[in-house]
Amino acid sequence: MARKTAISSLSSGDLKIVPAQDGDLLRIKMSGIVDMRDPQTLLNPYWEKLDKEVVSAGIKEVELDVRGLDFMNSSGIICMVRWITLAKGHTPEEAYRIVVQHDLSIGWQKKTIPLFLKLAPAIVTLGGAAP
Amino acid sequence: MKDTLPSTDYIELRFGPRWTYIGCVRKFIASFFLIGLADKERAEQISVAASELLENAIKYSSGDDSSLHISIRKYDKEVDVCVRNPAEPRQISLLRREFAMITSGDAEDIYLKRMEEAAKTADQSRLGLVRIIYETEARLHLEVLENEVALHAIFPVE
Repeated sequence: MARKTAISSLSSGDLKIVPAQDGDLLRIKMSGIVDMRDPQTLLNPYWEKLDKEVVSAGIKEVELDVRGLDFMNSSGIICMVRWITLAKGHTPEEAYRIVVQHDLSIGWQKKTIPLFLKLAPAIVTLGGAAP
Repeated sequence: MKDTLPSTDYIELRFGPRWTYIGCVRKFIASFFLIGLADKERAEQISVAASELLENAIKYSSGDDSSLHISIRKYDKEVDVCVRNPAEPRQISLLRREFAMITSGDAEDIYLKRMEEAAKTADQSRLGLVRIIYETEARLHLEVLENEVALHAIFPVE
């Protein structure tokens, strides 16, 4: 059983990220929009901390729910890819899976989210993609 | 491009390079073309392309006091999103090279490669242009004028 993580919510402008732990599963719900000029200053430290916490707490699955995320600019996409790249670099003992819940009725999600699976097929799964 | 052809729906905006205006423009364009095209997916794609072209223009235009110009024209069978910004010769040269690279192969392969590279570096990625090609399937066209560049994203429409 994973220990309780110390990952807090993040709220900035129109963006909200809310984590909720359920035993060995960590749910991360993103909603709003990411369209700031330098999202990396906000998001990279958040994903880095989350990655460290997940590994040290022994969590084996992170569900990333982006269905409420209406728009993300390309700089925001890079932040997400950076986190996935970090996650796929872990040893088998530290490794965790990322299940991405996305919405096929939102254009950018329909096209770009499936590429995360191609970037890291060993750790990324696409979940419930119903509109 | 095609300035002499009749355009049935037309938007033209000129504004200072202020980042927070981009979101307003994106939402307005999405609403405008949702009405004009009655196609939610295409309207969304046009607004994403406009947003990425404007972000690109603000990041890479010369001078903070320069103005950006966006025009969107709907013709019989296509919509042309065009963003113009002042640029210095060095920036124009970089953009030409970038443009040649992202239009020279399979869009998905280039987009994936760019994502991986961008995740490993703190440098500017210019992911936005290849994102437009991959996500929206628009045709990009680069127009170089004197001390100015115009980037077009051209969408087929019914």
